[in-house]
Amino acid sequence: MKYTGTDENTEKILQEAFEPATLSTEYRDQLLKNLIVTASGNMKTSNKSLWKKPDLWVAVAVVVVLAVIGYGIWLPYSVWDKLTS
Amino acid sequence: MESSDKTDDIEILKRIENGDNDAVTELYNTHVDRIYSLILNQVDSDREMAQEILQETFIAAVRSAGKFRGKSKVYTWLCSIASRKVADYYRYKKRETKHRVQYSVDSDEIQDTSDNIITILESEETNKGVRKTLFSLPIHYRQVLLLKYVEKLPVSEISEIMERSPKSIEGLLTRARKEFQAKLTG
Repeated sequence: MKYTGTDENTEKILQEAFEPATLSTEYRDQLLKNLIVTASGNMKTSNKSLWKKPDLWVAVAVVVVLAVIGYGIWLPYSVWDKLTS
Repeated sequence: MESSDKTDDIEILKRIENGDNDAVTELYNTHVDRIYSLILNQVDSDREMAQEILQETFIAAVRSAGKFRGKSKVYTWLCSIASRKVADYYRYKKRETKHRVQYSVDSDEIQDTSDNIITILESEETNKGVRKTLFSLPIHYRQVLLLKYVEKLPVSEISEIMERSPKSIEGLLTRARKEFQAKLTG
């Protein structure tokens, strides 16, 4: 068959050269088992106790930092009020 | 993409994220054969490497199930993971330019010289030549030709898989076809 480079020609020639492949049953079953083990690992990660989740600690750290900054802003006014009263 | 298909895809991946083994099995059984064929065609029929990349693809998919947002079909998403793994294979293993597939037909094995056998052999030789030519192309040309003409995906899905704009994919297809034609007929 002469190859002319058209869409139809390219599709025909490649479809004939590349047939669908199949996995061996043994490998197929083994891969599925590996995936299920991986998925179970995902579940264990998401079931960590609340205090072991890094997101929670980041939130706590942000709150603490804001509180310190807020205190630092409030403190001079408090001292000034006492000095001038 | 139909909204019900999108909902189903998101649902399956959410269930996988929550450790639902049935959802993993469903995803796997639905897509494993097509993804395996896609990978095998891209790695020069190296079955051992194709199986390794297939495993990496599905493990990556299961681990990142929670990140799927439903913007594309699950199959397209799996193809994009697989194509990245294949590109990594060629980039880091450095086999592409040095790899040559050796094909031979042992004439001692041919006992029957009927017309059917001759036709089959000629056809198989042609197919081998086509495969050899395709594997001599750069990996991105090979991927785009396989996705378009063997997997029969539309340009919109190929652009998601290869992370390029649809216009870029159209240009890539044109250049890939030209180089494929030049090598096949030259």
